[in-house]
Amino acid sequence: MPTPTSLIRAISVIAHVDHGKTTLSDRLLEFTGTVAPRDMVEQVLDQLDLERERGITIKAQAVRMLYQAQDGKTYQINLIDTPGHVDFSYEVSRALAACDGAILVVDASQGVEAQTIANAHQAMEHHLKIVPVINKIDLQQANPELVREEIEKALGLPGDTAILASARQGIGTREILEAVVREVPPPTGDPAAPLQALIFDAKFDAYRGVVTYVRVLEGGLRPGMRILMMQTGKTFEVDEVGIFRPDRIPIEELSAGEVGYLIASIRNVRDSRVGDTVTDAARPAAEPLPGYRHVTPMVFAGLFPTDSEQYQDLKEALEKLQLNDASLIYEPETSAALGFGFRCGFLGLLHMEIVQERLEREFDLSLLATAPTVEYRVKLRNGEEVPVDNPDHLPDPAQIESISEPVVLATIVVPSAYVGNMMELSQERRGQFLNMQYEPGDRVIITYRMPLGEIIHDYYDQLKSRSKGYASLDYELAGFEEANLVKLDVLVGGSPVDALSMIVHREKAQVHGRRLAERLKALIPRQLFEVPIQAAIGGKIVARETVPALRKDVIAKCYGGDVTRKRKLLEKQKEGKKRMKRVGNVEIPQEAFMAVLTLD
Amino acid sequence: MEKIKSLYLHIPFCTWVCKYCDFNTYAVLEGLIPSYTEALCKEIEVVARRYPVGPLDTVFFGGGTPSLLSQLQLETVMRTVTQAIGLRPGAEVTLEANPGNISAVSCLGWLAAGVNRLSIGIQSLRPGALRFLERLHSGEEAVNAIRAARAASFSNISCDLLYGVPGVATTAFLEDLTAVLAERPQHVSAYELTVEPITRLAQEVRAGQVVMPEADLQLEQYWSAAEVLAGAGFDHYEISNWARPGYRCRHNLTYWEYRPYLGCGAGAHSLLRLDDGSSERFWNVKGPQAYIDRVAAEGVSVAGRELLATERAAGEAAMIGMRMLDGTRAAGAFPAERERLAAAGLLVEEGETVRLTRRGVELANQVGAAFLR
Repeated sequence: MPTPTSLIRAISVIAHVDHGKTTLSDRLLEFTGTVAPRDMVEQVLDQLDLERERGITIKAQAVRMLYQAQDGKTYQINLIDTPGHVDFSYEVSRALAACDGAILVVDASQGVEAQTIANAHQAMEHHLKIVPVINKIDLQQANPELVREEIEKALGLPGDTAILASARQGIGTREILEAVVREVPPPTGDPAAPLQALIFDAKFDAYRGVVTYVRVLEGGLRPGMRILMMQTGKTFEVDEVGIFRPDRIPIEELSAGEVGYLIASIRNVRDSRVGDTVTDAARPAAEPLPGYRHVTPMVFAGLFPTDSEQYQDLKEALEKLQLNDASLIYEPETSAALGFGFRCGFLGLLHMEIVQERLEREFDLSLLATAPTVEYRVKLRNGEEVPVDNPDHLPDPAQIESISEPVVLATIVVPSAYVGNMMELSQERRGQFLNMQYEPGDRVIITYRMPLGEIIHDYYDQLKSRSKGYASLDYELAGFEEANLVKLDVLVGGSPVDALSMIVHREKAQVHGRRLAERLKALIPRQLFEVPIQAAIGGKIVARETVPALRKDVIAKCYGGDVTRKRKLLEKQKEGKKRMKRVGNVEIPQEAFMAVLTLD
Repeated sequence: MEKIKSLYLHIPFCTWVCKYCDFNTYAVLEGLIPSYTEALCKEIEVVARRYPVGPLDTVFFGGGTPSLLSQLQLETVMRTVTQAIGLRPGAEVTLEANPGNISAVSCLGWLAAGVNRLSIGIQSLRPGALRFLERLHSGEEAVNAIRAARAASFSNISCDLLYGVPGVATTAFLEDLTAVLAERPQHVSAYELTVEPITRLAQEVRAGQVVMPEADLQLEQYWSAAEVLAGAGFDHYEISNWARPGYRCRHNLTYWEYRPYLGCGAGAHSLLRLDDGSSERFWNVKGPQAYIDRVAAEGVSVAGRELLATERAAGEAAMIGMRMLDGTRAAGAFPAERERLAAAGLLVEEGETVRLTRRGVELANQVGAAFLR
C-alpha cells in the first residue's frame, strides 16, 4: 500500500566539507533501523572506494528510511546525500531540487564556512525548509552559542532552534528526525497527474545498464511504462522501479513524492541526464521541470599513456568510465611531444584527479596528465570566435583580435586575522575585489571576481596555507571576460614541447617563464648530454636554464656474486625511466608536466 | 648445459670489517672457521656430483679474508677440490690476502697448497687513508707483503687499490700507485671507494661527518691511474682492472664473459648456462652458522634461485660483458640499443663487437641498463 503523501518527507543533508555530513547520515540510517549497526561500514552512503578513502562524496545517494515519530505515525523519510565538492555543484543543485527540506550541518567549533553559505543559499533558492544542526558539540573547542549567532547573522536562519548534536556519539539524532517530520512539508504532487520525475543522479551497473535516481513529483512510475526523457527526447521501457534501503529493492510503483530508481535498459548515462525530466511517453507532462542545465566542463587537460602501446586501453577505459560519468568528455588529441592521447574536459580539478586515479587504478594504466587549463574564447580578426581548450592550439597572434577567459564569483570565508593574506593572494591572481562582510565569531566573507584559470593553479592550496587552514572557498562561473593573454612556449633540448605550453597574462608571462624554467631544471634528471630549457613568448626567449649532463654513472665492482643485485639496481633505474616521457632525446618525468601548476 | 670450469669459494671471516665494506663477511666469528671449512668441503663434494663441473680452469678463494685460513685448512679444501672436481694443468688458483697475513712462511704454505695467484688488499699506502678506511696494516707492511710474495716466488700478484678516498689528493693517490707498481705486480685492480647503502661509511656520509669527493675528482683519479698503468705496460681490460700481458684474471673473465661457475660457501652465487641460452642462478644462505647447519643437514644450503629466460639472460650477458674494455659480442641481440648508445657516443661498434668509449666507461650503468628489459 503506498504511503499517503502526508507521511512522506524528502530531505538532504548539506554541510561544509568535514562538518560531519556523512557521519550524521549514517546515524540517521542506524537510528531508523534502515541499516543494522552490525552492518554499518563507516560511511555507508559513500560507495566508491575512492570516496571512502578520500572521505568525500562524489555521487549522490538516496535511501528510504522508515521512522516512527512521537506522534505515533510511521513516516517515510527519503534521504538524499549530495556530493560535497564545488566541482559537483550542479549535481548538488539537482539533488536539492528533488528535496523538500534540508538538514544544514554546521561544525560546532569551525562554524559557518564558505560551503555552508553556498549550500544554504542553494537550499533557499530551492525553497527548502532548512533544519539547522550544530554538530560535534562533544568536542572541547565546541562553541555552539557562537555558531547559533553565526547561523542567525550569516545565513538569516533562526539560530536559537538549531539542534545540538554529535553524530559521532549519536546525540540529537531523534531530535533531528522529529524536526524533519514536524517542519519539512510533505510533497504536494498529485498521484493521478501525468508523470514528472526529476533525475538527480545515474549510475552504470554492468548487469542492468543505467540505474536512474529519480524523485517522482507528479504521477506515478511503474514497470512496463514507456517513458520519455524530456530533454534528450529519448524513450525507454521501464523494466524495474524500486527504492534504496540502502540496497536496491524493487517495488510495484513509485508514486508522487517518492524517491527511488528506475531501470530501463539504458546503455549510457548520457541518456539519463541529471536534471532531465522523466515523463510518460503515452501521456506526457506539459512541460519539463525547470532548472535543467547541460553540464559543461570547466577544466581541460591532456591524458596520455606513458607507454604508447596503452593508447587503445586508455580509449576503452575512457569509454567505460564515461558510461558512469556523464560530465566527463574527451576527444583524441595528438601531441608532438607526448604522442597519441585524449583531451579531456572535467568539472574541476578534483574531478580530474578522480578520473585520472580511477583510470590508473581500475584499468591499470600508467598515465601522464598535462597541466589543466580552462577554455578560452578567442575572437579572430575575421570576426570568427573559436574556443581554445589547449594552449598549443591558440591561433597565430597576428590573427587574434582578443581573448576572453572564464571568470568566477569566488566567496572566501576566513577569520579576520587572515583577511590581508587572502586579499594579497587574490590580488596576485588578478582577482577583482567585490565585497567584504564582517560576521559574528570574527569571520569575514570576502567576494572576488577572478579568472578561473588562476583558481585552478593551486589557488585553493595557497588559500589554505596562507590562512593556516582556516579559509574556505566556494565559487560559481560568472561568464567570460576579455584579458591580455599570451602563450608561453617551452623548449626542452631546443625543441618546443607542446604539452608544456600555457596561456598566461602578459604581465605575468616573464616571471612565469623564469619560474617554469627553474622548476623544470629541478625536475628533469641529468641526461647523457646537457639539456637547455627555454621559455619563450612569441618566439622571444624570456628565460633559460640548463640541466648539466650526467657526469658519472658506473659501478666499480661487478663480479659473480654481484650480478643479480647490480642487475636489479639497473632495472630499477630503468623502471624509473619508463615512467618518463621521451621528448626528442630528453626523458621528462611526469611531474614536469604539472610544474606549471605550482609556479606562484 | 655448458660445462662449468670455474669455482668460487667464499671465506666470510675478517678480523675487522672495514666501515665501507658491504660484503658477506663477519668479524668475531673466527671460532667457526674449522666447522666452516668442513662444511665447505662437504658442499664441494655434493655440487661436484650434482652439476657438470670440471676439470677446473680457475679457483678463487674470496672473502672476507681467505688468508685467515690455516695452512692445513687451505690444503684440505684444495685437496677436496682436486679429488671431487679436478684441476686442469695450469689452472689459475687465486687467494685473496690481507697484507697482515702475508709472510714468507704463509706464502710457501699457500704455494704448497696449490695457490698460484695472490690478490693483495692494499687499498692505500697513506697512514691517514688507511686509518680512515680502517685497514689493519701500514703502507710499509703492504709493500713488504708484495716483496714477501715475490720472494716466495709467486709470479702472479694482483694489488687492490682504492681511489676517491676523502682527503687523498690525486697526486697522493698516484704516488701510492707508482710505489705499488715499483714492486712489479702482474695485475692491479683500482676501485672507486663507493658508499654502499648499509655500511658505517654510509651512516657517516648521511650524518655529514664524511664528505665524499665530487664525481669530477673521482674521474680525474681514475683516468690518471689508467694513464700511469698504461705507461707501465698494463692493459686496461675491465672497468676497474689492469693486467700485464698474459696476466688477466681468468676467473673474473668467467663472470664478464658470462660463462657458468659454481660458488661454494656462505652467500656464494652460482650461474648455470643452459643450452637454449637461458640461465639459472642460485645462491647460498648468507650467515656462516646457518650455512654450516644447512650443509650438515642437506649437503647444500641454497637460499634462493632465479631463472632468466633467453632474452633476459642475453641482456645480463651484455650488461656485464660491456665492462670489458676490449669489447663484447654479447650485445649482438640488441641492435637498436647499440645504435642509440653509439649515437650518444657511449659505444663504438666494430663488426659484432661493441666497446665502451671513454665517456661510455664513465656512464657504464647507462649502457648496461639499456640491455635490460
